[in-house]
Amino acid sequence: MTALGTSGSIIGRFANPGRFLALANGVLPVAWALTVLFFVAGLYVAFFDSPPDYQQGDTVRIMYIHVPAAWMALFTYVTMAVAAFVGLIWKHVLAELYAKAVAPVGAAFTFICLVTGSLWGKPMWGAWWVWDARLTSVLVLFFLYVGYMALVDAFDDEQRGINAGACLLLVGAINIPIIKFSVDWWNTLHQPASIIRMDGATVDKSMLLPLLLMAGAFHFLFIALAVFRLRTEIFARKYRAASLRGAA
Amino acid sequence: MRALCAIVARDLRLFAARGSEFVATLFFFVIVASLFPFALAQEPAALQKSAAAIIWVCGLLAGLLSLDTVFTRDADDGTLDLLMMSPVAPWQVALGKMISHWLLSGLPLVMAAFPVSVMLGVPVEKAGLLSASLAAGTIYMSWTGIAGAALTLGSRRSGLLLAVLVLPLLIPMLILGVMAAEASLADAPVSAYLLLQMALVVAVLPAAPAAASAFLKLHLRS
Repeated sequence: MTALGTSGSIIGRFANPGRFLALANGVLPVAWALTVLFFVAGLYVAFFDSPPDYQQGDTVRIMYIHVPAAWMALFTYVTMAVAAFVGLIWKHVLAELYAKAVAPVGAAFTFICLVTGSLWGKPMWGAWWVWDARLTSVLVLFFLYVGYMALVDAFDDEQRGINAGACLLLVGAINIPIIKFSVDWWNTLHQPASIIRMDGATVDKSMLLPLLLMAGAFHFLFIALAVFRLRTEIFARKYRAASLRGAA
Repeated sequence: MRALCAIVARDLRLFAARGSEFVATLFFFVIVASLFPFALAQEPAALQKSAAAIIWVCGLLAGLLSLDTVFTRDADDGTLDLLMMSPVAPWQVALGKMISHWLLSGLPLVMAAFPVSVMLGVPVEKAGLLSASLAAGTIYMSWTGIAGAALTLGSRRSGLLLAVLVLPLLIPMLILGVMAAEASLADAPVSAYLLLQMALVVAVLPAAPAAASAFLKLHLRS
């Protein structure tokens, strides 16, 4: 465990902002290119090359946005919570900045998930919104993102905001398993899991392909945005430090 | 234990000396709850149906009002720093604040909920159960709320921030409390909801002081 905090370890190696910036400049163009590629392919298959559902008709295509956005909403939060943990324990500068940088991205994914779910719910369930366990817990996730951003921003000392936010992220992590298993624990109007389950996906192959393409697109979009925003945070910090030096 | 009692006793003495704040909380609760009969004047039946919801939401909001001064006042006059430097464990400081907050804001709310719910049209024999389930709710509220207050200590607009952070955490309790009241009004069994409320309280009793102590230490470090 002792090696983790030192510069020779895996975690320590990426704590160096300079090394990250060099890496970021290499990763960003690739991530953007893959994002565009996957979105073009995914959207084409989703809209033109996949069959309408035998019950839902063409509205099933909302799934290709809704489900990847929901996955990313959870995924982003989990990475933020892990980063918050690493940042609190090892004072890892990049991990601390990471959570702050990707919070708006996660909030946006959650928002997209809620909006597309609502648009899908109206024709399918006959209601824009129902207060079942899955929808409520995702709404709480959205509140967590918003609360986190407000909290990080509310202190005059940036470091204190980051520390307080990290605490909130760790406490709020309890919501993640609740979201994941809400459809199993409670009798919800929202359907249970049909992709990631023990006995294999129950979705037909013709629909699984566009779904996975879109999931890939959302992942690469996330990587690109995360790296981009983290790089911006580092630049902002450098700029502040430089202007403070200039003022002194 | 003695330190804990001393912290609670100090808060109670401070309340006796300058009072007003928690009394205002109580009146806030009563006044807001009594706005609903006017707003729903056309439909007395709707008023009785939503009595539990009104009491719960007003109670939670009233409890929230007194949260943000709990630590800030002690932090401003230096008491908190002295407490944190003393041999008293931070979790004891937090627990003491939770107990005194509940005694000063939760308990009066629970007692006031009885007459207010009768005023809103809940039958007298069912109002007791509503108060009992609100008792569990206010304990949960005080414990999570004080942990939230420790987290937002020293921030700008901490009152607003507290509402954004704490209210979502209260949703499960609110759902159970209102379901218990609805079941009792419909003469259905209520024990399941009350037991689930108790489960939440039992979970938060040790968890919130532990979390609050971590937040307080973090506050001191920076």
